[in-house]
Order: sequence, then C-alpha cells, then structure tokens
Amino acid sequence: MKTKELEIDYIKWFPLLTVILLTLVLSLINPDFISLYNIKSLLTQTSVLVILSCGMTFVLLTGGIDLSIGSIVSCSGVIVAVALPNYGYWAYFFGLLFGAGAGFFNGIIVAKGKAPSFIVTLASGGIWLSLAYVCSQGRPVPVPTDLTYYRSWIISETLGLPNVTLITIALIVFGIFILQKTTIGRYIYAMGNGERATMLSGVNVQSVRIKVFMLNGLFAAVGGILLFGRLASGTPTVGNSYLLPVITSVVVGGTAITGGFGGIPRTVLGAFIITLLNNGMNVIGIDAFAQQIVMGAILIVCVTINLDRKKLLVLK
Amino acid sequence: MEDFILELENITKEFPGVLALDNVSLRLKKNEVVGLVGENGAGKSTLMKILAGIYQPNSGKFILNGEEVRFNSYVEANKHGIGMVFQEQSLLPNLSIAENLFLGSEKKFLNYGRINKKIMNDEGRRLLKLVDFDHDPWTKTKDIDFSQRQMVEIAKVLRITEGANNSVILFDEPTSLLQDKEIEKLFGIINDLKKDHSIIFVSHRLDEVLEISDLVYILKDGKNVAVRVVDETDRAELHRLMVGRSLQGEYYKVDRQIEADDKEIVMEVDNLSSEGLFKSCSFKLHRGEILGLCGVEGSGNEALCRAIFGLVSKTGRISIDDSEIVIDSPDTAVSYGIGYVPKERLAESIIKYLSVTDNINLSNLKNIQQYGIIKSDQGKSITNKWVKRLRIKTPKITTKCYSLSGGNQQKVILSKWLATEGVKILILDHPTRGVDVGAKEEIYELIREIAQNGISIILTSDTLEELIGLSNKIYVMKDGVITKTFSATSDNKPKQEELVAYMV
Amino acid sequence: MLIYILQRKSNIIVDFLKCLKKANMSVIAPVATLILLWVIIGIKNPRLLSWFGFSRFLLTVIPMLICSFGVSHVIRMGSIDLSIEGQVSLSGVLVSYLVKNEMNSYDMGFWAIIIAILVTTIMGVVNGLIHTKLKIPSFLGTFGMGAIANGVSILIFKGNPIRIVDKGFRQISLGKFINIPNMIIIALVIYLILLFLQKRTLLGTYINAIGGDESLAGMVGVPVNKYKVISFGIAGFCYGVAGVMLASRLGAGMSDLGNGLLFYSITGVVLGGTSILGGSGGVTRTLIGVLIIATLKTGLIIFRISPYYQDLVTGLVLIITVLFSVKRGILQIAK
Repeated sequence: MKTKELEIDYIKWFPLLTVILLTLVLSLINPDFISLYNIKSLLTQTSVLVILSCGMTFVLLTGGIDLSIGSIVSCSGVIVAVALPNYGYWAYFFGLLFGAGAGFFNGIIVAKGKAPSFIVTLASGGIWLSLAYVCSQGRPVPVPTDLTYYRSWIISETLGLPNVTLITIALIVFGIFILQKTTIGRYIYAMGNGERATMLSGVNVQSVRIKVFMLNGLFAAVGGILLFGRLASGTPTVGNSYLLPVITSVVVGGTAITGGFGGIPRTVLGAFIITLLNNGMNVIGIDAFAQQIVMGAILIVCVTINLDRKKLLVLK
Repeated sequence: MEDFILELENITKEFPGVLALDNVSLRLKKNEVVGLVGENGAGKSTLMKILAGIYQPNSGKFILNGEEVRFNSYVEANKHGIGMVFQEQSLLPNLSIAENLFLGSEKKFLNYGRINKKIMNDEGRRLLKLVDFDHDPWTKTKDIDFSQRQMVEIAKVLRITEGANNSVILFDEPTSLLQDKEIEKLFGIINDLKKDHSIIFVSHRLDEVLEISDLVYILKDGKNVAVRVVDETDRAELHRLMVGRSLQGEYYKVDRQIEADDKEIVMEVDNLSSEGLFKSCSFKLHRGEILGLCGVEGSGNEALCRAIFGLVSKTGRISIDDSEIVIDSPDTAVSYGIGYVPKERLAESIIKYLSVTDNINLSNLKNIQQYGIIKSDQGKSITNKWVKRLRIKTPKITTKCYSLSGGNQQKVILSKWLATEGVKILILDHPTRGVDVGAKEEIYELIREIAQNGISIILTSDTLEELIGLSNKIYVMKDGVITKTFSATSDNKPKQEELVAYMV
Repeated sequence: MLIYILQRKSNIIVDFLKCLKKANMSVIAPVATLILLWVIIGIKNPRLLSWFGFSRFLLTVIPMLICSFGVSHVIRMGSIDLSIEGQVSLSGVLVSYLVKNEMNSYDMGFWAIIIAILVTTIMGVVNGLIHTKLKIPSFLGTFGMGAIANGVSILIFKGNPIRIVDKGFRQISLGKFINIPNMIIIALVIYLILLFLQKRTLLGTYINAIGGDESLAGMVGVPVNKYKVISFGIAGFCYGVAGVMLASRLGAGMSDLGNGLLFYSITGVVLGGTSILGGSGGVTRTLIGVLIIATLKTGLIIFRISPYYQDLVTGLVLIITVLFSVKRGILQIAK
C-alpha cells in the first residue's frame, strides 16, 4: 500500500509542476508570452476546453465515459442559433435544456439498460449530430446582424476580464462545490471506488449516474453556447474536434479512468497543459495536424501512468 | 510401506487477514477414493485449489509420485495428471461441448493450423461415451441442462488425466445440484473411474462421502482434525469431529443475551421464495432479537438474506411493523430501516480508497444534509463518536480504509449502519470473517449492545459455534427450505451436532 | 490453387448449412429483418432488386463491411476498437501517396498496397499490445491510437487531396472480373478467409472463449493475450484493405476517408447479433448486420427522408440492439 501513497503524491504534483514548467519554457522561447494580452487570450482560448473537461470529469469519476459531448456542443449551439430570432434570450435556455436532456437520455440508458457507456454515448452522439444537421440544414446558422446584441454578453468583458472567463470560473467553483460539499459528490467518489459497496450501502446508484450524465450534458451545452457566441453562428460540426482534447485533458490532469480519483482542479490544470502544449507546438512550428498525434500519444502515456491496475479485475 | 501417489505435507495457506490452511497434511493412495469433509470455511475448497494448482501454498510440500512438485497454474497440474471437476463448472456456455472438452489443448487436432473437426468430433464422442453421455459434441453448452453439463465436466477431466500414469481426479461438491438418479449415475461413474484413477471427493453430504470413499479426512478451521477409515466410522462421529468444540459461553457474551420472544414483532417474512435459491421461508423477527440462519453453502441462507435486502427477486410477503412492504432494491431496504453487512468485505462493503469518515457516513448522508449540502461538522462528529465507541484504530478519520486491519474495517462497516438514522434491522453475513480473535470479541460485545438497544439482527455465519452462541433463535436451512427451528436461549443452547443433522 | 480454394469453399458451405439448421432467435431476427426491409424497398423501387441495382448497392457497402469484419473480432472478445476511422484514413492516404499520383514521383503500384495494409496491421497489433501489456482499457487505448493514426494521415495529406493517376490501382474498385465487380470478389475472398479462420482454426473458438469468460479461459490454458493481439491485428488488416478500396474508388487520398465508419461498422456488428459483451457472433452475422444497416440507409434515401436523419436512425437502432443484447447476456456493472 505504500506504493499507492507514493504514486498518489507523485500524481498530485505532476499537473501543477507541468503547467509551471511549460509556462517557463514558453516564455523563454517567446518573451511576449507572459504579457497580459497573451494571458487573456489564452484564458479565453482555453475556456471552452476547461468547461467541457470539467463536465467530463464527473462522468469519468464514476468510471464511465461520454463520447457524445462533441455532438451535444454542436447541437446546443445550433439550437440557440435557430431559436434566437423567435425567442430571444429564451434560446439560451433551450440550449441548456437540450444539454440536460441529452445527458438524461445518456444516463438513463446506461443506468437502467446496464449498457456500457461508450457504446451508448457513441450511438447517442450520432443522434445529437443528426439533430444538429436537421435543425441547421447542414449549414452554419448565422446570427442576423440586428440580433448581435443577444450574444454581446458572451463576448464582452466585465471588470477587465472576459465574460467567458468569468463564466468558466463560476462553473469551476460550481463543479468543485458539487464534488466536495454535496451528498452527490460523496456518492460519485464512492461509486468510482466501489460501485457495488456503494449500492449495498443504500445509495441509489442509478439515479446518481443519471445526474452525472445530466451535469455533463449541461456543461457541454454551456460550452456549445459560448462557442456559438464567439463564432456568431451555430455550426453542426463545431464540437467534433473537442472529444480528444477533452479526454486527454482529464487524463493528463490525473483523474483515473477507473474512476474514484481526481477532481475539477486537476482537470483544469490538465486543460491548461493541453492548451500550453498546443501553443508550444505552434511556436516551435509543429504542424497543427501533427498535434493530434502528440495528443494521442500523451493520452496513452498518461492513462498508463494513472491507471490503477488493481482495480481492473478483468480488462476489456 | 505403502505407495502414496500424492502427499501433502504441512501445507499452510494465508490470505490477507485469514489463515485458510494451517499445517494440513493429506495422503492419497493409488486407486483410492479419499473423502474430504468439514464445515464451511474449514479449508476444503482452498486445499482442493492448491491440489489443482490454482493456488500456491505459502509453505509445505506437495509430493506427486515421489517427486516434490509445485504447480503455478491449473494447466501445469493438468500436465501432471491432476484434473478437477469444479463445483461451479469450468465450462463456457457459449462454446460447444467439443470446444469445451478440448479448450486449451487442441494441439493434436491441428494440421498446420487447421482443426480437423472430424477427429475432434470422434474424440469428443469417445470421451462422452466414457460418462455414458451420448450427445452431439457440437451442441452449444448452454443448450444442455445442468446435469448434462456435469457429465461433460467429468468427461473433460477424463481428457485431462488420460494417459497420465498416476492420475488424480478432484471432485468439488459435484452433487449439490443433482437429483437422486443423477447422483446414482455419478457414483457409478466414480466407481468405474477408481480402477484407473485416484480420487479426492469433497461434499457436505456426509452420507454420500461415506458411500463412495475409502478414507475420510476431516478438516476444521483450516487444520487436520482426523482421518477415518470409512468402514470404521459413521455419520454421527463425522459430525462430532467436524464441529466438536465446547461452547465458551463467555466468548459470545451469552450472559448479555436478552430474550426477545415477548417483544413486539419488528419484521415478518411470509412464504418467501426465489426460484432456484430458497422456497417458502417464513419467520418472525422480534425487537432486539438475534435470529440465526444456518446452512451449508447453497442451502439458501445467504440468498434469503440478500433477498430481504432487495438484491434478489422473490415472491412472498415481507412486513415491517405490521404493514406489508415491497423491497426491490437495496436503497428501498435501507429506507425501511434495514442494513446489511455483506460477507465479502473488500468487494462489497468497505470502500478501501475512501476515508474512514466517508465510509461511516455513506448510508447516512441524506440525513445530515440540507438542500444537498452536507453538514460536514455533523459528519465529523458522528464519525468521531463511533470511532471512539467502537475503538476503531485509525490515525485520523481521514485515513483511507485500506490501511486499516480487517477487524477495524469491519468496525467501520458496523459503524456505518449504527450511524444511519432509522436502522431497525441489521443483517449480518459472516460478521467476523477475516477478523482476528481480539477484534472478534469486541464485535460480539457490540452485537449484544446493538440488540440491547432495540435493533434486531439476522445473522448468518460459517462458524456454527458463533451462530449458536450469539442467537436467540436458530433456523436451519437445507436445499432451500427451513428444516428446523431451534430455540437458543442463554440457558439452553443447542449442540452443534444437532444443527448439523438438519444441515446435511 | 483453384482446387484448394474450391475445396475450402465447399467445406465451409457444408458448415454454413449446418449452422442454418441450428438457427435460433439471435440468427433468425436479423435475417428476417433484412428480408423484410428488402421487400419494403423492392416495392418502392423495384430497380434496386435487379443485379445492376443490387451490385451498386453492394459496392457502397463493401468498405464498411470489411471494417465490420475486422472490428467484429475485437467486439467478440468483449473489447472495442475506436481507431477504425484513423486507420482507414491512414491506409488510404498512405497508398495514394505511394502509387503513381499527381503530387510526387512515387510509383510503387502493388507494393504500395502491401505497405499500406501492413502499416495498419501493425497498428492493430500495437493496439493489442497496448491493451495487453500496458493494461489500458481498449476504448481508451484505441481512441488514442486512432487519433495518432488520424494525425499521421493528416500530416501526409497536408490539406490537398492526393490524386491518383495509377490506372491499374483504380481498377480495384472500378473494374470487373467476369462481370462481377472486383470489390465484391475481394470482399467475398476476405469473408471466406475469415470464415475459415473462425470455423476451422483455433481463432474462432479462442475469441469466443475470451469473450465468454476470460479468466476461465486463461485458467485452462488459452493464450489470452496472444489472441487478443491477433484479433486487433486482424482488425487492423481489414481497416487497411478498406482504406485502399476507398482510395481506389475515390481516386484520391484524403484524411477524412474514414469518416463515419466507426459508428456504422460497430452498429453493423451489433445489429448482426454479436453481443457487445462478447462471446457470440461471427463474420456471417456481421455480414447480415451490415447489410441491414446499409439497407436502412438506402431505404431512407429511397423514401426521401433527409440524409441528416441517417445518424439518428442508426444511433437509435444501435442503442435498442445493445439494450436487447445486454438483456440476453450477462449483466455487468455498466461503465
């Protein structure tokens, strides 16, 4: 058991140290890096990734995975774009409602149907993507210029910080609060570390699972809305490229795939690491496309390090 | 000097927290049938698994045909002519009979990677004939019934031991799920097999063991108790040897036992049945009563406990405080005030990577929260209260439970239920399993205290002595039904042999 | 050589007929569904039932079919392979890069095909090794590898389709042999080879055993890790073939060659009756499953339902099928 303690300590500091290291390296290469302007733009850039990764953290903590977040992101943005002309600010509510609903759908099929989450969310991802295409007729749905006012809250600043960053911080705090201070947070960690024992303690594990997926859906919807605001249109393909970075962020941050270990702060650090790495690779001149290779490799390496072999009785 | 095919000398096997076998020895002669009996937890299954190479002993010698051996896998044991007919069958249901018979050893049918199905078919048929089972070897195993699969399991062992000079076949509770006629057939087969193989036969049905064996070894608490020649002993003596220990009243705090027959009925179970597990079980549970459910593995006592907690579907009535309720899941059971301490601590009750306080508060969280937010001070004080009362040895309440000893972990689990508001009934499934002697005593005291405070307990345990010592009343189960009820008042405890008579 | 193939074919046909005799629900339901769907389609658009129409239908299906054949081995073991799209794209881009094309001076012809397929086969083997040696759950390991494969293919592709000039190469997908399109012949050959491996070698038995009860299989001496790696390798091989076919058909190598294949290939496997939990199924069932999915797609087109609904229908069908197969199978703790 001593080894486990050591491993945990090592993993604890790894993300923070990496962030510091990367920042140092990057600012050495490019002194402008530390400028206020650059940091602000970095924060804005990372915000969607952070939000999506936080949502995914909940799911991974319970030992599941959600492959449909890309589609939820796209679809919620499309829904907002389509509803905006007729419903004004209510459109945002519809977007959030969709996210929660998609999460609910995922959760109930995985929980009640006892089906593996990767298959269910693979399938549902297709469903939401379809929905996005149908609503948008396959093309980005732009926001008419006279309605630009409606998205100003997303792209403007308050007290010197981009609203997007404030929203992200709010969600981070919210996420930490849920995991640390609420009953459902305790249940999530318990489930990730011993689902059967948690069930036998009288916890309604199915209901927790559904709520976890709903949370993830909500976070994904927020991400989609922010993207919509930034791009000024609802695009059915905008979320596709997020799945890999999101999963890699969570894993790099140290949350275990087996569940039960990790949390929001780690994931946030993980997301920053990914963004910094991307920036770094851009600076060095590595192809934007090769970055995908690097991320895939990082994913595999980090999962290997973080994996708790003892928990996996039979590996599938 | 007789020739022994197989000798186990001073075998010791330890698992975390449990000494399963303590210097056990066993000898098997050629063409002999040796029976192995003992209570649940006596070590029979562990011994068999060591013989089959599935477990490796911590110390001791394993001598086969005069040579010392050490098997690191079942396959290695197979290569030396040892095969086992598993209690839970080692057949894969989605494969055909032929595939199962030869799984892992298809080499002789291969021709540059191609399987010669015709030869496999013929070989399969031949093996099946040896157990008098004539069936198409390409039938899928899930399409034949249990007793037929048992025949295939035996045929598989015959394949494994074929050609070996001095082969050993291990039978692990082969008759538990068979009907009389099928058992007769099995015995016929075993008598035939005797001519070419040597056999070790484990069963809790003493009559069968006496009928088929030449020699019987009796194990208890992981130790050898005795060896008897079958012609020179009888069922009664075997009982005595299996369980005989004088009751130490003080150990089980019998003096603190309170009689509960006059108290109100907290739970009534009426005609509870679950297909394949138990049938028509009924009992009444009084407040503060400790009700013991005893039986061998497969008798239904554990299944009944799980059913009451909502883990197994069942028909029949359960009422609490005179009103009928439906329990279909553990969270429903908990909401009605029923708690459950499972047998498999690591897999089912303690969450080892969670802290002491998290484990203790887990079932009670909804009672110390407001709008979903936990009142963590309350949680801490509850934990501290129970850590103190139960004398749980832990450096901090935030320590993760994997660093606690088995006994302390069990105390944490008990605290969990004691800390949960509204718990009236506690189901204890082997509550002192894997717990050292000192902690056991503490747990017995605790059980007495719990009962004195008005919580009713349903208890099952391998250790008959423990069950008798703790319970007010004992229900004996065999093959799914309650066979006899014993009153176990503090001044009139039944003897273990009396119980065993109705268990086997 | 021909006689050997014929002999193999006839053995397998005999096995096939034996299987038909033992048909049960999980076999009848998919076949019945398929027939029903074709009846409906035939009524609406009889032209599709002609040899011409049907073979054109088949041609669109074949790359996905081959991918499904490959991934069915992995799913039958109880694992999953999320690297399909990446590997197919990589193979397609790689082969375009190496045959005579407009972008560079490579002209490796036949060898390009060998190299491309070899690369994906090795990737498949790596997938298997990551799973068995590093003990990473298959959905994550293959996800990562798929990203890597996709990345590499994008690197080679660099945003411009690599237009293929090699006429012979294009014949793979466009040509016919005795009036049967080459692709159908290739698919048939692969099907027969995989069927042979499944029924006449240890591969089929061992994969089913691992999927049925891995620890039990390991205990009786099945070399579990070795066969897991082999399965992933076979899958990689199939993705390579599919990639080559797609490149040939399109006449160009692009990095999104594989798009959409993951979803439909897995759906095809599951629809055919292979349980997502492993232990049952086979290439024939996968064949039926893929045909069902492709027929559904075609049906949507014929009935003039917007193509945007394709994913939706497929997703729903996948979920429903999985729910049913879980019900029938052993319940596990869902993750």
